[in-house]
Amino acid sequence: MELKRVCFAYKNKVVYDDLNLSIPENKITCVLGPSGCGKTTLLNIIGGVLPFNGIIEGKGTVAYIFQQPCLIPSMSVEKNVEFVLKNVTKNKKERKNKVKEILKAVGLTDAADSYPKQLSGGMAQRVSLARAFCYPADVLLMDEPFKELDISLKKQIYSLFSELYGKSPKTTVFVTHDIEESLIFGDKIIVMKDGKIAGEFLCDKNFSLEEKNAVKENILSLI
Amino acid sequence: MNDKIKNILKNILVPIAGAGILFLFWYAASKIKNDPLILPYPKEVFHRFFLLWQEKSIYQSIFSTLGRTFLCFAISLGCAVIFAAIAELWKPFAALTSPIVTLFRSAPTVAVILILYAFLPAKRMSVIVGFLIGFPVLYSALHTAVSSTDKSLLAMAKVYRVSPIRKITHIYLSLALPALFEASRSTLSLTLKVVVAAEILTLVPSSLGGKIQTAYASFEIAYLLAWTLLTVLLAFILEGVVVGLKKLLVRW
Repeated sequence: MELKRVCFAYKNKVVYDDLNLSIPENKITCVLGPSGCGKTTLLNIIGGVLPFNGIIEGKGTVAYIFQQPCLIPSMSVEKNVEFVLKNVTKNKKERKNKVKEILKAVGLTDAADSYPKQLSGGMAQRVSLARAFCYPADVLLMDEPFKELDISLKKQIYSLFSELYGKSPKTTVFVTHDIEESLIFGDKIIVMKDGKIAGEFLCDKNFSLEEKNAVKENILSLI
Repeated sequence: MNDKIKNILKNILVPIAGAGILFLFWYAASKIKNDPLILPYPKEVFHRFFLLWQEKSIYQSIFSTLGRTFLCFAISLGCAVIFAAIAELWKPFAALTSPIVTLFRSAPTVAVILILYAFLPAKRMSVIVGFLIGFPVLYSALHTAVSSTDKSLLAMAKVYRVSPIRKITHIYLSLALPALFEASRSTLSLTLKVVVAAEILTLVPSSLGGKIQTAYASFEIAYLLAWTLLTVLLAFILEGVVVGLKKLLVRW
């Protein structure tokens, strides 16, 4: 996916002025940077939530895991997941089976009829993961989805995400504040500052600790 | 004390105790006044209240007043939904309509009734007055609920390419439903009150207001209070129906 000459401003505040970015296909690109540097704005532009000037090539359909689970309070877990599928899977039986399968994968079969307010933070975020992975998307956007979770829950969701991603890899843009998180998941790490790309790093999950530390230090020097 | 007993105490026994205190005050005032023609005892009013049910015209009076109440509630709700939808789609609309809504809300009801009395037939007027009272309350509640819809849910719907109709029904309306029920609860009983007031002032025959007016004209205060008690009871039942519907439909 290629972002070319992207410009965007909130009223008088310019966020991006001629941003060019290359996102590798079926890989995870982590975006790091200080608060207010335009990380979430980047996701909202790719997701089509915000209008912008410029071109995005090779985008296709998009799924989005928001910082908050963004579940509709009046719908059960099952209905929340099914809600996004209605446009893409017209056959009801097929749709129901898809939802059933993904809820089983995220361990929420028993909570299928529960309403969002009956779920814990971790469960709600698992529904959000299920919804995103159930949707036939070419691009997956993630906006600090694990930020609100405690450490033990974070580890559970990390492995769940890795499992789901392993089964259906997508072109992923993963915004995070956490350098460790970006080193765990990222195939590529982009550091942003003031709406500009301050640095890009290629990563490998098989990196040794020393190599990871070297990348980490480079990232820290840029933020 | 378990939660069930606490709930019974809070929702049933405490309101009954409140009503008991009210009747005690009424009884004390009647005792002090000691003139049943001006302020009859509660017992006498209750006796007249039970006698009302032997009158042939009681059901006609109840149904005609309730019919007008439901009609103006339905018109108010329909207009409130349309206005709130337009205000959400076209932001200046809320500012454009705010003077009209403020006028509806603040205009003295009796003055409006007296002004309209010159132009409209009595039966139709009570519906219009009910609308003028009910519409601003419902519109304000709906507009507030719709405009405060969680923006992240709307963003989610945009990303996943949810159709506009499903966005309206499953996000906007479903999120506004609790607020709409809350507003409907008070608006419905308020509308009944205003419809009865309009019926009293415009002498609508075979209506609760008409009966109250007749009782007043013949200076039968116990009879007047019995009809008033019936109106209060109906308002209470209407509120109960709305609360029941809310429990049935808003389960999340």
